[in-house]
Amino acid sequence: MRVVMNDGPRREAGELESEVLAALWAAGRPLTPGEVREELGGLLAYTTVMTTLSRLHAKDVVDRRRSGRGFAYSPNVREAEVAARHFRSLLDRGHDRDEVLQGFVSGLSADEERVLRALLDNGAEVDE
Amino acid sequence: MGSVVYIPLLCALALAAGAPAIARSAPPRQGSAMLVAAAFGAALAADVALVILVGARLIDAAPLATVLGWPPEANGPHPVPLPVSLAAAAGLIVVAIVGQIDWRRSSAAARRVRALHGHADTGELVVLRSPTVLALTLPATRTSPGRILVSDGMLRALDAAERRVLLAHERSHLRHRHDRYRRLVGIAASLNPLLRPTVAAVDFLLERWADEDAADAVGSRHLTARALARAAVADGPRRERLWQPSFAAQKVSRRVNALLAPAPARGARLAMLLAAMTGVIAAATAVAAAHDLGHLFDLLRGDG
Repeated sequence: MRVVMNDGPRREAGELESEVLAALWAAGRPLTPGEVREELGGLLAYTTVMTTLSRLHAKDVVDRRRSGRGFAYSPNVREAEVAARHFRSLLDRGHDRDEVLQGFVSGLSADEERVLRALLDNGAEVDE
Repeated sequence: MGSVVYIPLLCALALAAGAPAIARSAPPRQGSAMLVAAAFGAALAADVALVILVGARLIDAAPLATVLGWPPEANGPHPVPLPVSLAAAAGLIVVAIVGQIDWRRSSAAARRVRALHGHADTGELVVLRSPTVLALTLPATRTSPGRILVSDGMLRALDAAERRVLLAHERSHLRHRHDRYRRLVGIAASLNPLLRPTVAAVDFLLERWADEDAADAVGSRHLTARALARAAVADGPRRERLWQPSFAAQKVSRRVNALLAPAPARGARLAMLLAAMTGVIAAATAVAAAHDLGHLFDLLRGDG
């Protein structure tokens, strides 16, 4: 299996859409393509970011409005609210999720929280 | 018949007892595959053993012998003591009941997954508006590709690099069809409830597998550890389940520590070898015991 490198151009279109969409959500305010590109580390080509944003807009997953001579993009919050309603049972913390829905992290104990906070505060440096 | 027929049951117990150690020490990719296969083999073999322990008694049952025109008494003491046969019969009944419940639950879950796909067709990533810190995979079905479900609460909690870790981790789950591993080990645990501890062990190894894949994809195990810690802390502590296998109670810490340590060696085969041996031994002894039963069958019919 080919290892995906850290630089932008090797990522597939679908993966780029996910990254750009995630960046828009995390920002909490409308972003221009240039700002999106910066947020993602500045490694992607500007045109790549623009194309990706256009695709997302065509799918009605992001909104856009005029900003200066270009556009500023923001995620389509209404769609996400509708989605949240459909997936409400999965969002409920107490709910037993179906066994095949693997996630990211879950089930932190109080002791662990202290240890992990300390780890983050001491800055596990990205030095590899 | 001897004690050969009991070995698959002992193997199942051994596998269940050794599962936490395997989860802690085995290389994730190989360990999860081996543990699932061994659990499945041990479950089938143990069930065959239970059937033999009951069947050996039934063959000798007087009414059956009369109907089939066999001599009424076998030579010597019965190879399977009555209490053992009764216990085995009880075990089979438990398997039947648990299996039925699990089957229904599993079918309902599969229907739910298919239904959820209907609301998740805008791309690889589906964002749910929620302050919770959530990320889940929706496994691929015949008609839909796999999807990643994430709450906006999760996306706000992570920086750009950490979000890449998150996406790479979930993609690993989807790409390698970890849902199938999970379903298989669940079936094994239904076929033989003694194997329940292997389920948590497999879950843990699948997460470790995805962690290592994410670390490869983003090029840093440190960053991956940080992303896990960040997401876990953002999620916050939750009420502990009444009972959890001890290693699962600290699973986020274990995953973080495993990433802060050097990459798992492709060696460390001992745990995996043991699991593989267990599965093979269980299967082989089930075959041997079945052969014994056939022999017993012949003896009773007077074919010697």
